[in-house]
Amino acid sequence: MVEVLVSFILISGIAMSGFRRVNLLNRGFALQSLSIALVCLVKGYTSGEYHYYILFLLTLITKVIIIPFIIDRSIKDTKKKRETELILSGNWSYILLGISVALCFVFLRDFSDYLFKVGCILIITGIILMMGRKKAVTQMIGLLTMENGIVLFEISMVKMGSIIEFGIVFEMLIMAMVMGVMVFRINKTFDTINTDYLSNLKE
Amino acid sequence: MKYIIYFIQSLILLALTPLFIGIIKNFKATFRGYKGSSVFQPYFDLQKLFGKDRVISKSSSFITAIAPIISLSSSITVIFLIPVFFNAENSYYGNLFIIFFLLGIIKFLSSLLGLDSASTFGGMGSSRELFISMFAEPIMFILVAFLYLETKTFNIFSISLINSEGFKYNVAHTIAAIGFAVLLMVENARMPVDNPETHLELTMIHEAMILDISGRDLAYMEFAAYIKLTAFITIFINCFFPIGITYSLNLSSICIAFAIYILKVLGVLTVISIIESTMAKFRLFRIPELLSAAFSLSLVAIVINYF
Repeated sequence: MVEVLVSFILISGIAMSGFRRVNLLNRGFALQSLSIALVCLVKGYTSGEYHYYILFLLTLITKVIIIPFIIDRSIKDTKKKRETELILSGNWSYILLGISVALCFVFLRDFSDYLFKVGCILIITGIILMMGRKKAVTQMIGLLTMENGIVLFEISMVKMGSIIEFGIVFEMLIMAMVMGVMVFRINKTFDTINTDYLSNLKE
Repeated sequence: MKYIIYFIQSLILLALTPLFIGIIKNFKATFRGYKGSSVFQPYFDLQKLFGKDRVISKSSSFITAIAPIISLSSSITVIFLIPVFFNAENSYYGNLFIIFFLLGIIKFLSSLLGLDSASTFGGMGSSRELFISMFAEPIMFILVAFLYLETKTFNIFSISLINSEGFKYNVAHTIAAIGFAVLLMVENARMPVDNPETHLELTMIHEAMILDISGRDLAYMEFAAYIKLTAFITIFINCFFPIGITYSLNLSSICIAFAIYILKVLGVLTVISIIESTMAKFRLFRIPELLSAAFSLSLVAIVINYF
């Protein structure tokens, strides 16, 4: 069961790396977070530890419902629906991510846990989304995808206390809100959410 | 005895092929909210076309005369080389490479057919078809390599038998199945790549190549395309989700396996019709993006299977 969910996380990560429409990216992010929440639920059921259930509830509420709603609002406010000028084209993003997934699995072949490797892959997906795109909304989704990867690290590797899980989740929520406001402000100031124009602020 | 059942199951699949196409058309009509044609309509279409004579353009060569019948015969050969719902071991035939190369003959001959009658639409369709298949063939061979690395055999009967034992839907298997599903849509000119319903539009690919033939030749080409879709769906089901396929000669277990097979095909047809009625067709130069996603998925599947 965990393996099917892990494959959904991996497929959503690979698919998200090349999407241009911000709506689709948002849906992919929600699907990915839902899969992560269900992984937490299954882990909690098999191990019987209560903090997995807390993480499941927090992930479900913040990342599946609230954060996609915030992103949706900022897309609607700014009316920028798709990425037009890419630094890294869709084809190359897919192929680059495929090669990096291969390298991840080669270098981490001593770890038997899939969640650790998939966490690494989500961080690489986030990096590709942040570096290869120009729109602020896409970069925000890239950062949130990296955070998803960190959550996967956390449930696979070390057993942290619930307080750190709370910390990660709320940090992410606040970050999404702040970035939503920032995107709105950038759009109001420059009439675009292309982050290249931010260098005009130097004067 | 088992070879007789192989023969009979392939005959049943051949007889059911137009029905599957009718089911897709009916499902799509239902999703769009109108009452579609009967599910038996493709049988009547084929009957009408088979009753007509052939009309061949004066400027065409021998390719137009032979291409439709060779396409049909190679697609029928493929149907007789794959397991459907009964599968005991078979060491005489069933190599995946032979199956995919026989399906490649259809593509080769239909692109020649598009060029042959020297009309502008046909040449455009052929160039588009080859442009897409240039990206699709590597994915197909990577997926065949994945199946080999998973089961250590190229024989589709053995692959299906090994994959049907036990519950082995791990990460690599699921990802490779998604990659094959994309390949299925691309190879059969279904919706995100090509619209199978339109005629005389500048975007068509498969229909553009067979625009210049009519009558019995058109029936041969249409039936070959139908059989290609059915063969791809059957290969998809029997390589990736073969649970329920039977290897005993008992009549009741064969009936149960047939019912499970029909249910799985109906599931795949439902998914195809949902995708076709909800998605818009991609621009031609966006198609390589879809295919590079499928390439990335199949590469990842091989790597995960290996490590």
